[in-house]
Amino acid sequence: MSEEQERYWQELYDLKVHVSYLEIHLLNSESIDKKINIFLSIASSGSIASWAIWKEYEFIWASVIVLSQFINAIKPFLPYGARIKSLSKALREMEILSLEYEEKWFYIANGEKTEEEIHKLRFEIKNKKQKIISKYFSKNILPTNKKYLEEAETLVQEHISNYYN
Amino acid sequence: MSKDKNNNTNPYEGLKPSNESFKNLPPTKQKPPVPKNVKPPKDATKS
Repeated sequence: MSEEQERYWQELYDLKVHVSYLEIHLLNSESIDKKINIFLSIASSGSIASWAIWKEYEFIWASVIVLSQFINAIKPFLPYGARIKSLSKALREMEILSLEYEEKWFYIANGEKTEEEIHKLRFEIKNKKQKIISKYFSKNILPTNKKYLEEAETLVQEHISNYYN
Repeated sequence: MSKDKNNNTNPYEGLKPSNESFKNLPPTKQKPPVPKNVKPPKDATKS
């Protein structure tokens, strides 16, 4: 492999890892959001009924209601709702980008592109990726999660071993 | 003009990652497995 092919391959790998990373982030954000919503609906309907039945635990039920009202009040300020929207849109565009440039790898690996063409394609990936990220995460910054990154890298390494080795 | 740039109020400006993708997407840690049967680029075979 030439140096330019190696750089392209690394860029494509990074792109695929980041697609996977966004997907893991999305799944986890959705799971947290779902748990909050489940708690809120159980707390609002269940606590009043439980309070009426088990009066001796009224402090617990009152606390659950207070907590649910507190979560309800701060919920619009929690990042999960906005993050889910940004993540799903960014993920869709990143997946399209990843497929488009994974397809181009065939021609690069087949020796059908010049060094300069490979270099240009690599920078196309960089620019398009940056545009997507700026579009969706310039205000709502995504927190770095090393565990998600490791998980994403493992998944992509497996994918490469299955299809390219 | 370049002097104005250097007088930026944030002393860490030059040290910050300049692109948005770096800020939101952490750099990968591992090297990808090397793919098989890769032919050299078109212009590399000619020389």
